[in-house]
Amino acid sequence: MTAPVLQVKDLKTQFFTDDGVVKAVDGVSFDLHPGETLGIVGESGCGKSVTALSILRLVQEPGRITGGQILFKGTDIVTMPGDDVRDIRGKDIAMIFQDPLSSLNPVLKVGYQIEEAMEAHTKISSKVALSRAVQLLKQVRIPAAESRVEDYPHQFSGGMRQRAMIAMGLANKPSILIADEPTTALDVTVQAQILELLRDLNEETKTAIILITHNMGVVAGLCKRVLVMYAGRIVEQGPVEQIFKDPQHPYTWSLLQSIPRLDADRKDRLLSIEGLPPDLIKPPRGCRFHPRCQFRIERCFHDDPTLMDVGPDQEAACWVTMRRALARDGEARA
Amino acid sequence: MKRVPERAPLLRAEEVVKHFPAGLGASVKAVERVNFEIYPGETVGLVGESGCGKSTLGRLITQLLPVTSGNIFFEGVDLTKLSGEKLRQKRRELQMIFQDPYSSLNPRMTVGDIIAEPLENFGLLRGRAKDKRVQELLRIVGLNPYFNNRYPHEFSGGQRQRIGIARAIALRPKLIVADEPISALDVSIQAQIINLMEDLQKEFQLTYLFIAHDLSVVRHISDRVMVMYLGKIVEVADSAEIYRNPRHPYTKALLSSIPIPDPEIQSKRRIVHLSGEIPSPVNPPSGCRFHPRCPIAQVPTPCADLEPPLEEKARGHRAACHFSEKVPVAV
Repeated sequence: MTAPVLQVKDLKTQFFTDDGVVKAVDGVSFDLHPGETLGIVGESGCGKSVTALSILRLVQEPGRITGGQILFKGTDIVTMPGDDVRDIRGKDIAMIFQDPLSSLNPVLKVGYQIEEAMEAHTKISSKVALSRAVQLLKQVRIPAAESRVEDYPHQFSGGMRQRAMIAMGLANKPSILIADEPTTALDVTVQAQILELLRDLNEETKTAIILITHNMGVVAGLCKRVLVMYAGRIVEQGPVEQIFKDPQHPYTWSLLQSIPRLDADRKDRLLSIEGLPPDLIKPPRGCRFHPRCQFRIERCFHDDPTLMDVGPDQEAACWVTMRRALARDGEARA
Repeated sequence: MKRVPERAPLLRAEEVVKHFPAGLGASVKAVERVNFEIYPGETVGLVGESGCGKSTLGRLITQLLPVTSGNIFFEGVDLTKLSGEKLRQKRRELQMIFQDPYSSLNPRMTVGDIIAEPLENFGLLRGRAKDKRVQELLRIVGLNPYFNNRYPHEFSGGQRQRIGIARAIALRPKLIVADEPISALDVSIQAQIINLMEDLQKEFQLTYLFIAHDLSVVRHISDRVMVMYLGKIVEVADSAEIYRNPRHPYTKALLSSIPIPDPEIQSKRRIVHLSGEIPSPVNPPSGCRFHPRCPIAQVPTPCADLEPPLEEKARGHRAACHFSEKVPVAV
């Protein structure tokens, strides 16, 4: 196996608010290998976006990375001087966001903005930059790229703007593209096309992709590996097929049971996860999911589980795990 | 199957049109000659992408917007002919749940006052009886009855949506139009609200028009589904039927685009590509409005010059397509 291009080790990012310290990311570790597609899923406030922002050192005040390491090709981004981080941002690690309209400058031509992204990192003539911008727009399947390069963002539809953002992200041939809810603001038919584009680009360019989303279906379509986050922690991780077929953490299992599926006949009732995600200023003792978990045992109330092997290449932070929980339920019923 | 077709519809829309002025004599044709029925006790899903006119149609039904032309019969009474007090009285039976539980609740009113407002508007209950009813409503939607003195900001998104639902059912309406009621909520909370809406439907014999862009949620909750594209209803069928056997190429494309949370199935699916973008509703395309993007269109004849009627293709299954038999079978 090749060396990981990114290693996140025990990352802690906290927000120092008037109400107290919000432990938004609380000890997250994972590796990303070259060309890999990694999904990070979870609900609002679980820490998935803050994890992504931490990787690029873009966490805003009152937030701060308070611990851990983020090794990009072996060098720690957390302790790197600001100028060096700026070199990496947009060049080695690019990021695209949910709302492409607010990420683009409305008074500059789309092509110019892509050229700018290149010129920030390499000395190239404007002629070369322009032809490269056209080529990038073609690569993200924008028709009539030669004339579209002269358009302003408002002349693009939502889907095309996100394509333009992806083109900008790929401008410097980064090794990692972080996409934070890239399709959430888009209609479903456009979403499907953007996901297909990301999948194709991953194959063509071998750029590793970190996809951050709340939508399990989106992960299923694009990613090879997935991290499930809850309350600032990774609660389960592993290959996508494995996690979807045989989830071991009750949170992952419940999430998959709670979403209506297009290919399922109408069920009587969806499984619902009662209660709300916890307050991260004062997270619950023991397992953070225990107040909402229907499979909890006594140990879960006071003993905080860490990630443990639960299957081939699969880890979950749970004292019970679904295998045992479902077997137990089966016995109780028999 | 809840629907008994012989029964009289609770609501019938006939040739409903809504145009909004767009300046210089132009108009946005948001809803164009739409016909449908909703039967008592059923849930009808209304799906389509942004700008298709689904929310406008929801607001026309509840008469929050006046129609440009056409009629909307509610229990046989034409709502578009009513005004003033008569319309106000009818509105008791037609309530709405909105998408954004943050902006649809007045931040300066207590939750108790928000839920009591409809009761007061119609002078139904006063004093202790009113307070008791408010607390009962809070309990019905799964909230602590003693939260009535709290303000909306003290609640989470899911809890606020419960408050919006309590307000909507306060007058014991017959029809509730729910406009994207769960799309602003987190995944784990969405199931709570869907289950609540289903429980309330059974308990109070409610009829729902459920407007959403997410076809998987709509398939789960609806008895029948209507698909809208650019101001027109292009297909109507039972929800299992529309999924198994879509008869309009737009429905087919929508279905193929919805990700299924199963990597094995998802990797084998093929999405139907729609060329181009949704055209402007100011100048909709001639003939079938979907023809410029349709993968099976035959232009110019008939698709570009003849508008296909929404007609019965199978029992209870209507579609507006000249070539509905050519739409490939499902996912």
